[in-house]
Amino acid sequence: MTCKNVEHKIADYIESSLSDKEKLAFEKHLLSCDSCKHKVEFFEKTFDCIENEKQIKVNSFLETRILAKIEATNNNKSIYKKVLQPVFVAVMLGLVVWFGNILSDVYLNVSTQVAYSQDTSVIDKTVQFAINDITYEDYYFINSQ
Amino acid sequence: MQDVELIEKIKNNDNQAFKILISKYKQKAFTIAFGFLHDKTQAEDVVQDVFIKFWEKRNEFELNAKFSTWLYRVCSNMSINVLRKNKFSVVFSSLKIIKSDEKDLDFEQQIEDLDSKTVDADTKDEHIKIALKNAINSLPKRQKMAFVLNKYQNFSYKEIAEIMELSLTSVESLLFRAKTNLQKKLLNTYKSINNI
Repeated sequence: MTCKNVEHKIADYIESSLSDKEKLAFEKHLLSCDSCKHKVEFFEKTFDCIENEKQIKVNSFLETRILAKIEATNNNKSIYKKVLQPVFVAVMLGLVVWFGNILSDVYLNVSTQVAYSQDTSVIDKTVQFAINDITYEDYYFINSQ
Repeated sequence: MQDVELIEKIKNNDNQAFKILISKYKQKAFTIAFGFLHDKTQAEDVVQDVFIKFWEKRNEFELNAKFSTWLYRVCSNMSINVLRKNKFSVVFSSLKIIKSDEKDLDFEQQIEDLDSKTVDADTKDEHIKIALKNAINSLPKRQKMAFVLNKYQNFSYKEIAEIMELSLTSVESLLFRAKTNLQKKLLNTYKSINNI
């Protein structure tokens, strides 16, 4: 087995997934090659590192921490519901009333103008009818119909 | 108590059942998150966020779905997201230090440069830890996920296929490529440390 072959098979060797024949050839090469021996040692230490990391224990109070965080989030939500939500609703209502006021003003203005223009047309018609010798009273009677 | 019973109780806002569920799975979830992040605080934060996410969405969780599969999938994805954020924060902080003539280097190169500076300063054991962390982090997302689930939690190919929602063949291929890439990366690190 050459150094190149060893490099390709290091991970398989450490995971013990080489065949008996390959393993024997691999180990025979290591006996005569210090460079490859050091590479294998480096890989073994690296893979041992995974085993060590797997032994690290999680905080035993994690449940309490999670529940406390959920509780705190709920409290924040209830502050929103108790204080901010009513304020928000009141502001929105105020806005609706204010906007309604503006709309009613605009509407009243338009209707006054319409009424005024109708009056003008009446006067125009009165004038017109007056030219045709029709009296004001006659016009009122016609318009009411 | 079975997961289904616990989840049913959790859906009725039973805190005690939720506590039992966390106790049952926190270590496994933590080991997976640690496999990606190699940092205890960050891994615990991920586990915490996963369980809070579950609590918030508990009413949408289908009882016939396997909780553990969902947990490991979300835990892996969240860890990868944290890893991505870490990568960007390392790059942005390094941008303040790196001189203007180094600006042409790509992001990966900049991270490797920072890591190699750290390697020079630390002990031999630290070299190995950093080499492992860099090698795993350099893998593409799906290879990384398959590798961490396989090596850190000893999940079978079938279990990984369920968690990652892939076929068995895809998982086999991902793990083979992950191992090959990791081997190359570690060899390069070994050679650079020993000036070969």
